[in-house]
Amino acid sequence: MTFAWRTVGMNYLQYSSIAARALRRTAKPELQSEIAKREGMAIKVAKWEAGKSGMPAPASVIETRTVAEN
Amino acid sequence: MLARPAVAARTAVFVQTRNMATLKEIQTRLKSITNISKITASMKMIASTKTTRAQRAMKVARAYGKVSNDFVKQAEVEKAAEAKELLITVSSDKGLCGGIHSSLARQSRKYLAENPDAPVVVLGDKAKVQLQRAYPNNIKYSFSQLGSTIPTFDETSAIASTVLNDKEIVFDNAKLLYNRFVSAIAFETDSIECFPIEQIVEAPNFKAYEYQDEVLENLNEFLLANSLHWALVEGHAAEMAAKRSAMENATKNAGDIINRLTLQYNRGRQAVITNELIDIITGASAL
Repeated sequence: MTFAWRTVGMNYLQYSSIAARALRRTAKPELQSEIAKREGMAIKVAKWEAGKSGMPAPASVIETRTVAEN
Repeated sequence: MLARPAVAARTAVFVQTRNMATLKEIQTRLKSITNISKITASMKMIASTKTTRAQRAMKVARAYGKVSNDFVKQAEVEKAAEAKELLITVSSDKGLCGGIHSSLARQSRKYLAENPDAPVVVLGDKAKVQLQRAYPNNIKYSFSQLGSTIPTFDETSAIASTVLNDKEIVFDNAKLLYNRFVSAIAFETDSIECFPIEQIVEAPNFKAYEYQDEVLENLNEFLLANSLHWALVEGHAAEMAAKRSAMENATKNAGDIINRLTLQYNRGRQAVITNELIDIITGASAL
């Protein structure tokens, strides 16, 4: 049983992040403020080649269009 | 007869001016150190509130880590003899927290001295700066903007996912170096081992069951994220506690210096007054 998301190159963490994000979006408005805290992502990643650091770029598990729209 | 009081007056004036300059210096120092002690006291307050919050999050995150731990223990997974290991150093960007970052950097350097080919992923700028000096070619990824808030599982997934998706980094085991929260005034640098699928499959208690390969890969990724999340949150709690005690020590030291300087200032002030009195009395007696 091969998972559909595995065939497109997603790993399990990305898959569960998307599922978690969908679940968070369905929460009632009064709980949204508390739940939004779990989503903020400020970390930056820099790839290193041969002892030199690259430019830091924002890291996220998944890039979704909703993020760009916001 | 006239010369002696004049000489006495001149030396008295000289001593007076010297004391006055020192008095002004002491006053400036006192002002600046009082400011410093106010800043460190407020930083201690902030750090103690962050510690309580971080400790609560740590209790929750321990449940994540327990999943990986219990699974590995129950299955009795063992480390392979020649496993390629990836070192993940879990530190942060913020300073003024005592020996947190230097302890991590020291352990990382010790490990890299024994395994000079191991790839390294550094979380946090403080450890990155230290490792970049000694082993720049081992570093594969560095993550920054960590340490101001309690890590979320989303952030942990981002880190783990970046490492897992990169096909250039070949590793079997992952070794997570982090600071374990021992108490509000003590921490200990510790490591968590994350095993690959091959080792899990070889584990004696795991072999007894049927499994599907695809599910195993999911489990592997999930276990790495779990352990990493535990290390991140616990490291954050340890850092906040260390920051609190470092700021408390700084405030106490500043208070000691303030007391010492105040005494010195008062003594200096009294010496100036005494000298003035001597001048007046000598002058009056000369008349």
